[in-house]
Amino acid sequence: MGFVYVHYDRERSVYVDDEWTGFTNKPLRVSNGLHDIDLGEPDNVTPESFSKIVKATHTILRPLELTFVRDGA
Amino acid sequence: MAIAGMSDCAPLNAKLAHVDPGHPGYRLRRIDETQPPDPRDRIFVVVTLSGGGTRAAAFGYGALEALRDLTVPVDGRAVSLLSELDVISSVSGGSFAAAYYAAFGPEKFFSDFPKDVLHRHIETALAFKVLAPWNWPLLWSPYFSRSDLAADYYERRIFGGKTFSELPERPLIVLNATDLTAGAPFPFLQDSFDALCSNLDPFPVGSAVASSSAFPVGFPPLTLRNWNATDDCGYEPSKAIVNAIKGGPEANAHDYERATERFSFTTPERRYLHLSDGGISDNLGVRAVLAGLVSGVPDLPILQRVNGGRIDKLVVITVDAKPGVAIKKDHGRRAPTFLTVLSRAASAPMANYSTDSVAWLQESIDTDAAFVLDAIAAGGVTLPHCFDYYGVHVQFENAPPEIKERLKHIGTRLELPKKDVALLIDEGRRQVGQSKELARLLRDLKDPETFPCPSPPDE
Repeated sequence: MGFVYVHYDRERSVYVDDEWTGFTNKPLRVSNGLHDIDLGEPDNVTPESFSKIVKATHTILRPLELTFVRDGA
Repeated sequence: MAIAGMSDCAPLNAKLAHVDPGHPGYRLRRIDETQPPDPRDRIFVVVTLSGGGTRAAAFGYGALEALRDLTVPVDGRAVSLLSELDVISSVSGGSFAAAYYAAFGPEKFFSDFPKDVLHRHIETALAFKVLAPWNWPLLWSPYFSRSDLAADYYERRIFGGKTFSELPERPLIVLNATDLTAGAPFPFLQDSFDALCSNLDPFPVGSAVASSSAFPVGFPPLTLRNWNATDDCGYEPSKAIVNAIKGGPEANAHDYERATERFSFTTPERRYLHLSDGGISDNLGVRAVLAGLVSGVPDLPILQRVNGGRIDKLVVITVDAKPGVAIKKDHGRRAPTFLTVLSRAASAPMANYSTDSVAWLQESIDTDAAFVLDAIAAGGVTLPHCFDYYGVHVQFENAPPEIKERLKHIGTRLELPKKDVALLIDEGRRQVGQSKELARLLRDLKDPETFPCPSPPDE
């Protein structure tokens, strides 16, 4: 299990493999392995999703960091 | 219903015309941000009951008695810890206790389970059924076996024909069998049945217990129909399953295996599923809990509840009725008999795998706690939702020396002398009642400001 930190300029839900997993801007525990990570609806962010491998070496202090940007921002 | 299964035209499990992942069904439902937190999730209590025939059922009964008698403060009220029970995951003999508890509720469980199961001569009754001439035509059929006879007996004489549709939402019971072809756990939950295009609701609890306790050789596997192999019910493997396979064993070997096994139900070649004793793949019932915390393809979405801030305290009580090893076999030079070797070849991997599962669960929790403590020490770091973990491992090794050997030599049977049953109940009750981890839980609930989360374990 590793930690993923999704950066976004406000709080939004984070989905891992289409399942709700928590909120942006907070470390989230995610199982090791390949996952699709996105912010669900509305589909107004870039990129649409990330496909990344989470590892046990992704800790709270050094998580897998992903950044979504609001379209038009 | 089990006797109806003798014909290839009458499978045990009903077909589901259309899979609806949004349909509650018998499962621990996935949550999302729109659902208000369920207060019952705050203290999430899981009990796992191992295999071991009546030995396991009695040991588990004693453990549950102790939970009933343990009072904890919740929201200003004193409640029995048993009322906070969320999941019971069981295997083989432990499944009798889990299923009976869910089917009939705590009151009848504590008053009648000893009479209805622990003191019942189940083996003798099943032997009579096999020897009864009117059953021989059934047994001559290649589609009907001793396990179907057992399922029928359990349905009629123990579980009163109860089906999964009649079980309460909590505690959710996970009766674990083994998919013999894949060698993988098969939990009786709607998520597994979705992959078979089958409906778990009308499935008899007694047949699920028979599958979970179909100990090899003594009890042949029970067979389910995989409707997904021949019919289209709209089942789509989840994205988690697809990604676990795509990532391959390098990304996560355990998830790759879990996903591959679940995905295999979509292949036309797997028209049937042969279920054997759950102990073959997990003799403690703990793998489902472990997967719920570390797997991307869990049947119990526990990690989702942690991330969502729904679980503050996670309690896992593992009731392990593993027997002892017969050291006397090494007393002489003569090699053990063929049957002894066969028995040990079957049981030793089970025991080793179970030990690894408990260790893996504890190591996962310890690693998580270490990461959180490091983050707290570093300062200025946003923390994840943290939770307190309380792990209790009830096992014969913890018994006083004078009774430990007696416990370890109680055989794996479906009927035991009353004095052995009483000994098992007493020891299960004693270990849970005197658990230091549960005492720590009680202290933490009484004074939640005592420690920052995670609270250090007692030294």
